[in-house]
Order: sequence, then C-alpha cells, then structure tokens
Amino acid sequence: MSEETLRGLVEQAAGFEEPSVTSGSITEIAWLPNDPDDIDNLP
Amino acid sequence: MAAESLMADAGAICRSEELLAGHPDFGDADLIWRRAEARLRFAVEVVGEQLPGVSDVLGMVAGKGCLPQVLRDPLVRMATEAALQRLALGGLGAPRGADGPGDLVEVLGQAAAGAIPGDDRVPTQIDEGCGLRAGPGGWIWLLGFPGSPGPLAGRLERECAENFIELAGRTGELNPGTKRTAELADLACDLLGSVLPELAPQVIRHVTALGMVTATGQDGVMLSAAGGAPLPGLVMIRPGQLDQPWDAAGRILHEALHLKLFDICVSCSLIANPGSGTGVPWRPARWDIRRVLAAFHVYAHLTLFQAAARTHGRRLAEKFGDPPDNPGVSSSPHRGYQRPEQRLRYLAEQLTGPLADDLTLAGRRFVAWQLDAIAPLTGWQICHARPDQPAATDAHPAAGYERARGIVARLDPQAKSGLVFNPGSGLLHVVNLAGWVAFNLCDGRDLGALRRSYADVTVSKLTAADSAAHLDTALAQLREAGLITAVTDPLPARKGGDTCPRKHSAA
Repeated sequence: MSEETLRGLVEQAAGFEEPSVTSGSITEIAWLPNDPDDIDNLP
Repeated sequence: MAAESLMADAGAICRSEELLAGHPDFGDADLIWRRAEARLRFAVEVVGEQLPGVSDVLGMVAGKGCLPQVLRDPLVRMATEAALQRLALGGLGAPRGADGPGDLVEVLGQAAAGAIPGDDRVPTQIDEGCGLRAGPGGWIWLLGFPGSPGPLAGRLERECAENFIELAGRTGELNPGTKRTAELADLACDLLGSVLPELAPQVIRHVTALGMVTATGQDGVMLSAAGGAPLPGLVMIRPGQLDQPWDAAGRILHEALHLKLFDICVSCSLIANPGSGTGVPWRPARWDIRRVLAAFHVYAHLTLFQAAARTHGRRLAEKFGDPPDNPGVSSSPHRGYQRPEQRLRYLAEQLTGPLADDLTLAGRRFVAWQLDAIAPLTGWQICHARPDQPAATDAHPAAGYERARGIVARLDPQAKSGLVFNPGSGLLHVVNLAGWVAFNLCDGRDLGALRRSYADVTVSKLTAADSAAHLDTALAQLREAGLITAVTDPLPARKGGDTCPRKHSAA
C-alpha cells in the first residue's frame, strides 16, 4: 500500500489511537463459561 | 461506599450513558461487530486456503446474500475459532470428525444450506425452528432445545450441556425456552431500554441467543453465564432469575457485557500479561486478569444501571414494579462488597495500580474511559497513568525492517484496520490503523527512513514526538508477532512501499 494511500487513510480516520496488534492467541480473549462469575454462594 | 452517596440526578446519568454507549472502539456495537465480522470472514478465507470445500461454501453463502447471519451463527463462530486454534497448533491435517478440521466444513455447509435470504435468523435458529424471540426487534433468539433437533440445533445443545454443565463439574440440565420465558426476557430488555435507552441497544446487540440452564456446582448455584470464546454470542441464565424484571434486566446486561468484551477483544488487544491476576474480597478464588477486567466492565455499567433505576424507577413502577435494592448483582458473604460501586472501586484500584502494567495501552485506555464516563455519578478521582501515550524507546535490534515472507494481509476498509495471517506461527492478528501504517512502511528501508515516512504519513494526527513513540511501539509489536523481520542491509526510502526481496535475519 503506497504512502499516499496510507496518508489518505490516516487523514480520513476519525481518530488515531496508539498501535495495537492482537496476539492472535485464544488465551488473550477466552472468557470461559465454566468459570462462573455470577453465582449465588451464600451459605 | 454506600449507594446513597452516589449522585444520581438525571443529567449525570445521561452524561455517563452517552459516554459509555458512544465510544468508537469500546461502546458502539455496530462498529465493534463490523470489526469482529471482518476478522471472522478473513479467518474463514485463511482456513479455506488449506481446507478443501470451505472456500466454495463461503462463496455460495456470499452469493445468497446470507453472509451476515451465517457469520453471526454461534456454531459457525465456534468452528471457525476451533479451526484457527488448530492452525496455530500446526495445521489442519487431522482427520475429519467432531472438533477436527472437517468440523468447519460440515458446520459451514449445513449453515449455508439452511440460511434464508432476507431472513435475519441465524441458520441454527432456523434449524431449531422454535420461533422464540425477545429484545428489540426480536433480536435475541430464545433457545428452545427441541425434542427432535436438526443437525445444527442438536450440535448446539450438546455444546451447551458440555460447556455450561459437564466441563464445570456441575449437575443440572438445560431447560427449553417457553413462551413465558420469552415474554420475561422481552420484558427485561424493554426495561433496560426504558432505563438506559442509548446504552441498552449497544449491549443487547452482542447477544445472539439466550438459553435457560439449571445447574449447581461446588461453588454454589449458577445464576447466569456468558459463552465468550467457547460459545460465542450465548447467554445462559437460571430460569427463576427472569421472574423479577429489574434483576433480570441487570443480569442480561451483565452477561451481554461479557459478550461485548469478547467481541472487542478479538480485534483489540487489552491484556499484556494474561498470567496476571489478583484476589477479590467478595469471592474466594483468585481471579485472572481477564476476569478482573471483565468484572470491572460489568460493574461500571451496573453502577450506572442502578443509579438510573433509583432515578427513574418510580416513573416505571407501574409497568415493571418497584426496583428492588441492588438489582442484578449476585450476593457475597462479604458485607462490604455487596454493591456494584464497591466492587468497581476495588477493581479500579487494582487495574490502575498493581495490575496497570499487565494491560496494554489500549487496555489502560479502556479502564480510563469507563472511570471517566461514570465520574459524573461517583465523583471519584482515581489516578491512572496517561493512557494514550506510548512509551518511547530507541532500542531496535535492527537497522531496518521488512514484512515477513508469506504473510497474508488485507485492510478492512470499513474498520480501517489490518487483518494479517502469519503462516509461520499459524496466528491471525488484527492490526489497527497506527500499526497498519508501520507494517506497510516496512519494505526493507532503514530506521531513519521509516521514522521520516511514518511522521509524514501521520502528520495530520500526531506530533513528531508522538509519531516516533507510536512507530517504536508498532515495530515492537509487529516484530513480536513475527509480522516483520530485521534486515541487515536496509535500503533508503522508496515511494510506493511495495515489498521487494531482501536478505533476512532473525528479528
């Protein structure tokens, strides 16, 4: 992708946040349903 | 902190709600889902390069105009994530069968055959055929668990039983949805939309299906749970939890927020150190940082929900009854942490204190955004490190960089982020615009030329100092992901930025 195209993308973007590259690992995003966060554990 | 000490005037509630609902990366459901959907499509295409049959089926689905509902189907999402995990573990070469690579071919094929053009239901919902819906526009599918399910509905039922009951070591059963449970879920969504009209649709949108489960384990009675990565788009709830509309609304909000966070995280990395965590006073087990962040997200929104319930509850009592004390929050033996704002304050202090370095820059921005958004209600001044400034570093183990060989990369023009598959690692990465610019400039040129080009391309958004810091952060992340490699004999800058063959060295 050319620098001109990149510059156009940046100019058109509503914001420009800090760089982010996801790890691609499921462990980063997994929220396990067998790990209940909402239980009634009152005696 | 006592609930009565929270400011809860209508103006403050409105301001908080607008801030929580409208954030482009963390609030706007349409933008978040568009990014997640683009990643899913790219993932299916990448898998299709190695798995015969997938590309043809994907083309057929697109040709029918049914791609949105097929990619939203929980089983298609599950099978796609499973195929991605297999790629990361070394390839798709195992035999066909359940959980094998053929799983995606089979599920996608059945979904493609079942999808109906112009029908917004996902294919497994059509296969189930129970017709129970709730929420705005009937968006949420109530799982019917029919006695004689079709192939997709039967598979989903098995996955629900396995993930929500058996894997957790619980005893219990799935309960088929009924007209009555659909009405109760609909009432809860109606309540949520009445109390928080801007926020509710931005959260409910992340729920595809709602199922009923009665389950008990050694921790206690399960009240509700969200599917997240293993069962995307699914909320499970104990049937009795729908009886009280205010509690039901809080519980649906709670679990839908977990699904929203999952959809955010597939395209935006929030956690830098997944091994981190902390204890919390209201639960006996240590929580890993994913759970800390997810609970923080929920309690920030539940603090707003309860403030809105206190302010608007009387006006809505005729339709929904009087709001109970502390609606939608599970109990704990610890009396000091019964209320959402008490739990939120504790989690905020952890995430802005000892756990702050275990979050990415985006993760710290995610925390700061919510604390700022509910500040009109809480009045808290919790100090957090400036979240929007990458730390500058000059340390580079290379004279220049180029994109790694064999990388498959594409810009998602709608989301303005890059989708990048690294065949070397088998991992699929989402790269935001700041990272995408850096990735594209890595054509073998030296660091000085890279810095000049990055500053030039981003001049409309960044100062020179911020540009240098952004580039360093981007190069570090791209290098760590194996998406760029170091070059020992860099070229001067070239206009155009296309890759040409270079000598490689390990980054």
